[in-house]
Amino acid sequence: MTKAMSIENLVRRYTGFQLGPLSLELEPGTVLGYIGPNASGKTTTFHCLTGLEKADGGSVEFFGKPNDPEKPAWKLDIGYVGDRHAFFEGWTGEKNLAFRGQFYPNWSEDLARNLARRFNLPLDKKAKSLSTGNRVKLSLVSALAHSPRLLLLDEPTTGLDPVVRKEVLDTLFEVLESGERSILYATHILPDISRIADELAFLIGGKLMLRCPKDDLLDKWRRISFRTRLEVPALKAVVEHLTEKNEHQVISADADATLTHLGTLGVEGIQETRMTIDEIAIEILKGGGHVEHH
Amino acid sequence: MWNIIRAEVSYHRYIFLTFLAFVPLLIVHEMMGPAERIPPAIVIWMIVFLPVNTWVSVRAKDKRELQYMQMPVKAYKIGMARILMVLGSALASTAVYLALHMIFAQSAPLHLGAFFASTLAILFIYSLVFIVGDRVVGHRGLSDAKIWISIFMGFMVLGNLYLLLLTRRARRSGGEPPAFIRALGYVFEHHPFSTNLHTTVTVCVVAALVVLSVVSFTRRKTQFA
Repeated sequence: MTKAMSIENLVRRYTGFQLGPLSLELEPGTVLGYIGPNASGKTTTFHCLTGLEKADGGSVEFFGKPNDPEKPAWKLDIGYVGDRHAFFEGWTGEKNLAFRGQFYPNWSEDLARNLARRFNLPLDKKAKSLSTGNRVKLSLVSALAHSPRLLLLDEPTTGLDPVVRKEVLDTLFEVLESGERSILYATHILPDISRIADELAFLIGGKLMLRCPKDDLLDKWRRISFRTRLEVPALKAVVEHLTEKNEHQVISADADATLTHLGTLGVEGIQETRMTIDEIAIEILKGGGHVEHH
Repeated sequence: MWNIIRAEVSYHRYIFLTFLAFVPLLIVHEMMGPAERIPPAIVIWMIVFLPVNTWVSVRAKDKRELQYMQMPVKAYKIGMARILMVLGSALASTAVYLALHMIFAQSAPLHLGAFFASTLAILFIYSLVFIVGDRVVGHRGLSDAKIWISIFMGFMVLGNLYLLLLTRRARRSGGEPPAFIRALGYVFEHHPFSTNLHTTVTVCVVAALVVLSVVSFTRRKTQFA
C-alpha cells in the first residue's frame, strides 16, 4: 500500500545544528504526533517536507509522489498549516480563500464556508486586522477546504491564549475525527495531540529518538516502587531511579522486563502504577527514549 | 501563473494606477519642450519607476511568495510571475504613453525607442536585484536580503539622480561638462542601441538575465530568514 508520507534519510544542515538523517513513514489514516522540545528540528522538518526549504540530502514522497517543486501535483494531497500564516494582508478572509481555491480542483467553497462558521471565523475582515487566533483559523480553513488526504500541522496553536487554543483544537479535532485522513502534527505541548494521536515520534536535537504507537507506550511504561536493603544494580529498561533509604522508585520503559529483573533480586513491596502519556513523553524528552524496548 | 499575476495586479492596482498617472506628465513635457529634453524625462520616469516598483515587489513579498510556494504552482512559474510583474508595469507605461501620444501629441516625435531602452534597463536592474536577493535569501536570510536590495536600489536611484544633476549643471553653466560626463561621452556614443548589433546583444544579455532570475528563484535554498 502506498504510504501517505515517506521520508528517507532527510538531512538539513545549519551552522551548529543538523536535522537528521531522518527516516519516517506514515500509513494512510494514521495520526502521528511529532513531539520535540523547542529547536529540536520539528519546523525544519515541515519546511523540508513542503519544499519551503531545500534539504541537503534524502528524499520525501507523499502518496508515492516526490516533493518536487517543479511537479507540484503532490501539493494537492496535502494541507499545511505552518508557523507563519501567509495571506494577502489587504484582502478579506473570503477573498484570500477564493484566491487559494483557484489552484485546487477539489476546493469546496461550501466546505470553506462551513469550516469558517464552525471555527467562528469572520470572513469579511481583512487578513491584517485578524487576531492571531483568527489567522490560525483562516490557515486551517485554507488547509482543509480542498479535503487533503494528509494534513501537516506544525504547532498550529503557537501563540494562542489557552481559551482560544482550546476552542481551535476542539473544533479542529471535531472536524478531523469525521475524516479518514493522515495527520502529522508537530507540537511541544503533548496534551494538544495525545487525544487523537495513534503514534508518537520524538525528535530531540534533530534526531528521531523514538517512534512508537501511543498504546504501546501506555502499556509498557510504569512507575514502579519497591523496598530492599540490598544494593540494587542497574535495572533493565529503567530510565529513572530515585532512592530514599530503603525505598526505591523507578520509571520503566518496559514494565515486564523491569519486573522480571526485580523478581530475580528478591525485593519486597513491589507496586506499579500507570503513567499518563504526558508523563511518559516528558521522560522520553528528558532522555529516556534511548532505553531499549523489549 | 496567470492567476498569480492577476492577483498581484488586483492587489496592487492603486499603486499601479498612481504610477501610470505619471506617464501623462511625459506627454505634457514632450508637447512643451524640444525633443532633446525627452531622454532626461525618461530618466526621471525611471527614477520614479524604480523606487515605486521596488516598494511593490518587496512589500510583504516574503509572505506572498511563501504563500505561492505552499500552493500547487511550479516554482519556475512563480519566478516568472515575479519578473513578468516588472515587465508588465513597464509595458503598461509604454502602452499608456503610446495611447496618449496618438491622441494628444501626434505632431511630436514618438520616443518609443527611449521606452524600449528604459524597459530593458529596468529588466536588467530588476533581474540583477532578484538574483542578488535570491542568493542572499539562501545564505543570509530574507531580512538581510531586504537590506541588500534596498542598498542596491538606493545606489541605482542616487546614481541616476547624480548623473541628472551633473548634466543639468553642465547645461546651465554652458561650459564644458564635468570630466566624469565627458568620460561617459564615448560610452554614450557607443550606447547599447547605437547599432543593430549593439541592440541585439543588449536584448540577448537582458533576456539571459531574466531567465537567470527565474532559475535563481527555483534554486533558492530557503523561503525564510
